[in-house]
Amino acid sequence: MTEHSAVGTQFDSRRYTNFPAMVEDIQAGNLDAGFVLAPLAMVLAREGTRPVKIVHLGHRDGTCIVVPKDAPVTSFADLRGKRIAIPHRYSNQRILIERLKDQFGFRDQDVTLIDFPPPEMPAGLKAGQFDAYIVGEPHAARAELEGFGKILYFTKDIWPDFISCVLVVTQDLIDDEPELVRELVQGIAASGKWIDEGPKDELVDGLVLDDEPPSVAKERRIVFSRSFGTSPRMQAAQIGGLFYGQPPELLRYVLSQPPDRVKYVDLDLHRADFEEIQGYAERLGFFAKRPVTTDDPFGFDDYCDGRFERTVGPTPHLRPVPEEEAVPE
Amino acid sequence: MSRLLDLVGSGALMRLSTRIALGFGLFLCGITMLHGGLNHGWFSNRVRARLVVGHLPVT
Amino acid sequence: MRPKAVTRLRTVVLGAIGVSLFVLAWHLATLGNGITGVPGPLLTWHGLVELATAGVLWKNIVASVFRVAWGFCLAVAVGIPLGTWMGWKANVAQALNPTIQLLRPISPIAWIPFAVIMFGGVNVGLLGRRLFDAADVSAAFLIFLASFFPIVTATSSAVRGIDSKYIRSAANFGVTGKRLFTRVILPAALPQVLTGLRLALGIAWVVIVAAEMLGVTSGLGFQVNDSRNNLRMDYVAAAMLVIGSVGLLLDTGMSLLETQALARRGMSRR
Repeated sequence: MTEHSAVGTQFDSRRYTNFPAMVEDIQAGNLDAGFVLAPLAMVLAREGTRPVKIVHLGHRDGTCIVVPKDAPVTSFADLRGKRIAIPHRYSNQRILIERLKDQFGFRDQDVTLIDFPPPEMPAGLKAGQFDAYIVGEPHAARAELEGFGKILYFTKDIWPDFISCVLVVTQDLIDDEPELVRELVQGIAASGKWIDEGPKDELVDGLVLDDEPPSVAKERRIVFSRSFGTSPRMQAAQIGGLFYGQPPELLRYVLSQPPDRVKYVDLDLHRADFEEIQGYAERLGFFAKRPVTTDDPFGFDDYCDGRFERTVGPTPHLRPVPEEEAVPE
Repeated sequence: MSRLLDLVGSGALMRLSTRIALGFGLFLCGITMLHGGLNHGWFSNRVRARLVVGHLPVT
Repeated sequence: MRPKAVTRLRTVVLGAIGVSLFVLAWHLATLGNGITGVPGPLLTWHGLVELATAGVLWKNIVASVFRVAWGFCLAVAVGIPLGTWMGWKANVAQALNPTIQLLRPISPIAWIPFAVIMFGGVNVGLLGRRLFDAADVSAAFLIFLASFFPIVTATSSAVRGIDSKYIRSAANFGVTGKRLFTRVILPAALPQVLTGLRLALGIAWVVIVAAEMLGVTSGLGFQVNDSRNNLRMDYVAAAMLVIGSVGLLLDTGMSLLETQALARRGMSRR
């Protein structure tokens, strides 16, 4: 979410409206870095015309299975014979459902999976188009906040440290500007560390409290109320509100109810995580066009490049949260 | 509208189709300048980012 | 009051009644909905005001009109000469028409992936300023596709339908070649061509929401798609309202051009 890295290179974020548009832009050479679904990234690395590598994670967890509030569903076993909406064919959410099917001894035909656009999932659940959905935040929290949905599982309960989206960059960018990639990865790692472990009493550059004197006001600042909370997570909710255009209150809920709903630490690439995902991806036929065989192998080192995440860069520019003016009684 | 097209060129000098073509051309120029100014920052000295990172508003 | 003024007044009043009834029905049907449901007229209006005061609305209108203007004008620049040629030479029409009629029914939305891939990395600059980025070019190409086929079809049938007595008398006066084209064919076909352009522009504007599903970050279509992802249905409805209004303006402009051309020919509509 940070725009500037510590070294000072400017990174711009471009908000897409759907995954296919972003993938096509990467393939066409219009985009060199982006956050995409983990299995989709593997498929791109395997079959894309413009090869990409996963260089870091975006976050961990942050995905939920949601069911109607009044539904007699207390475990995945109760979803036998039901319809479940998933965000994308090549999403790790689909793999998580597959994993649960194994765990609960479901056969393939025991659940029906439906590809559904994440923003419409709460409405689809309410309208009864399916019986449950699995999605990344904030679209799970919405059903909860609007009162008709309940969380059946947080990923932290069923697949701890779940990986949803990963940062991919094109091989061209790695070859041409490895230092730029390093800067980006370390900037993201540093902001993640700041969100989860940063000082509670310091404000990040550009954020201003509404009771501060106007002299503090800087260009492009975000002004918010002290009562919103000033922890790094609440500051991140404010920044996210600006960049995503989503209500900061919703992001605040997602980032704090409970706090480990989504995690921003330990974003380094681990072989075991990806090998498990790849195993399911192969089983589900994600690489049908170019199957993985002993003659044409495909593994962690073919789609992951962890060399940019060795050291973590300095945290973002911070300043102390100003003391609250004592209000005379 | 007749008056509007006359701004592009008077009827005596230019044929109607030529004036329509000119009108289209002028509109195109105008909207291009506006778009450049508003969406590509033509008239401000903005530093271009070295790298653009794509993302979706979903975790 | 003169009868003409009475007719005009009646048109305005009846139109206003129709719009009011629509807004009332909209209001009643969406009563009690929040910004994540189908928003009512009041919420939509507030959303519209928010977008306008934040400045994004103007940027998005300009971006969409920009893409449609370029795609449409390119379609005019290619489509009118091609259509004229097809209308003039029967064997050209016979050679090209099957292909054109085959491609015409394909929705530009289906072309989205190819539009992105074909124009990948195309960045058109002018004097160090960015004129089009690749996404602009792809979107303009989709608009081009949407308007090109109706323009070619309308132009070729306009030219084919020119009364042969014009052409014969021109020949009697020894008018041939380029002069025949600019002095006889073009003016004779113009009214029908303009009608075709008006229809094509309508189609082009309809396609903008779909065209801006690809990697653009501005435009009314982007506003719709992005607000949808951000759960701001009031912004979606506001953008729809603006798309309708701008479309109406563009259509009015084209219809004025059309009337003008018809008046020149001493014809009036209906």
